[in-house]
Amino acid sequence: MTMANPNTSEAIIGLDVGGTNTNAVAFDNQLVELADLHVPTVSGSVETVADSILETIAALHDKLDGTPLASVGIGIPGLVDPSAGIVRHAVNLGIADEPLEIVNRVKVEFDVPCRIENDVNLAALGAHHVLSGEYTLCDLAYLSIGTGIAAGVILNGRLHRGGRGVAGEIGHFPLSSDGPLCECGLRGCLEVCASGSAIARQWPSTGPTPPIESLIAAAIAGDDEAIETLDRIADHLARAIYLLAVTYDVDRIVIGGGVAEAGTRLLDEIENGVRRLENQSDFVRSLRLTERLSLKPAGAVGALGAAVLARLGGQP
Amino acid sequence: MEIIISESPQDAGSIVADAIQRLLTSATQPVLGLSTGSSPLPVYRHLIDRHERGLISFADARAFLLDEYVGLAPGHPEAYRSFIQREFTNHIDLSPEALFGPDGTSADLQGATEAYERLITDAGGIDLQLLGIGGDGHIGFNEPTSSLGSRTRIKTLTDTTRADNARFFDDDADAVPRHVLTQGIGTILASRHVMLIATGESKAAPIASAVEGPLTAMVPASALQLHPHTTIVLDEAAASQLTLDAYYREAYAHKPDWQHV
Repeated sequence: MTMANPNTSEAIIGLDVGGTNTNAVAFDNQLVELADLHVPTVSGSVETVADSILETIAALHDKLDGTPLASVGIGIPGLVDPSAGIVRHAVNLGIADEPLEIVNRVKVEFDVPCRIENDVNLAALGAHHVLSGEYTLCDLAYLSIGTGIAAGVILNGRLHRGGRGVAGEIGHFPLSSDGPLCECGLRGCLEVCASGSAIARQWPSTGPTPPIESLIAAAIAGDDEAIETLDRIADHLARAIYLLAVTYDVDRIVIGGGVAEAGTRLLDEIENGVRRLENQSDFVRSLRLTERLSLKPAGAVGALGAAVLARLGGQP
Repeated sequence: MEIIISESPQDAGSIVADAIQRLLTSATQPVLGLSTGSSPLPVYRHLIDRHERGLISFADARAFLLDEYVGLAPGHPEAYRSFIQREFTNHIDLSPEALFGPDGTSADLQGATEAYERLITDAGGIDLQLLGIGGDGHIGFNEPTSSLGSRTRIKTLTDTTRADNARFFDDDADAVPRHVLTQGIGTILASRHVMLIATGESKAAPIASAVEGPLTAMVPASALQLHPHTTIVLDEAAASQLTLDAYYREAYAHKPDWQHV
């Protein structure tokens, strides 16, 4: 016998729109998961992306037995203007200068409030919802290692966007001046050294196994070139952790993004990278970086963060 | 704690409104804790006036109610949510979706209280909690002997309280809900700044107990003695039983300009 969930009078839908896939999750008003949907993102233009998002919301709503929709939250990569409800320059989605006015489209189509925010920021908000104590806030940075690299920062329990909205955009911080050339114009950016695409370039993998997985497997099997490559990538990521610690001094640094699907074996390598820094510096050691590190909580934290934002209502 | 004795309820409301104005103009995504009852009304009137004059905006803010009746239909005129909308939020630019209260209509009240605490955490905690005080020293619906560490939970109203409140329910005590959901004293103590406003003769005794008496669950407001940033704003009548009133007046009169409330 199934018991009716007493809190399903209205549903909140959170969407995490990625370059490849979209995770959509419906929650009740206490943020208990009701249903989810995992579909490929249709990219290409403002119109196709908007249609794809609206169709995904409608398809998930269809799974809810007529429960009315209360609100929608959307996490999306690119340059998001939360108060205008638009996104520009989402390169992975094929969106350039022409803005995707998704908040208005959702409001017109479903007649509910909608909120939009950068996808990494929402993953940080979702991780904060899971990791903060029952009654206590925690300061955290969510380091997303995917196609690119960026961090979402929660300070004092609130999303820290910064004055120009670029807080946490550490992917374009150059680690060295003689590294590979980055799209941004600089050399040796964190993103061209240690992102998912950078790892794929340094360790091209064949077949369905993600490059980071086959790289770790090869290193464990004793392949010298794999060990050297993995150590180099781990050193870069350790510097990213160090950078977040000395700029925001957060209690928790959470590793997420597609590359983090490699799990504890990736975390072990990053911790090894941190220890190599600690071995050279008492100062780094005093920061106790490894104690602050963890993998992202299980589940769709980006979609959860989108629902947290939607439930909080109000202006961005 | 800081004790401010002002000349009138209007002045007391203005002092609290100043602190809220400072929060709204300095913080991003500020979070207010709102309280019902008659004591905060002057605060709300000042804030509405300042909003109308274009001095403050609540567009970026979120607001959380202290308590709510259990079982009243959504939109019932005596629901605390309806009260605060009528007296305050309908007259400012706070988004309707940014006003929260414990969900007294939920079929799962235990879950609703836990969800309310999580919601406060998701919003980043309460920056400024506005409070009144009851004749017996209660804050929110935390009556004497409430746990000083309590969190949002269900409380039972006594027959006396229900009879007192019958005047709001067509003089029918049976129409007054038997239960309420209220933030606990621990929830209130977790807010960053507590401002308690009390005016009138009837508040003189509970204020004297809460401010100058021992810390005790018999006077729930005495728990504010443990809070690192509490401001008690009074009129002359509510301050009339304080023994150190000369000291409070002197301290406030000589407060450095930079040290805000």
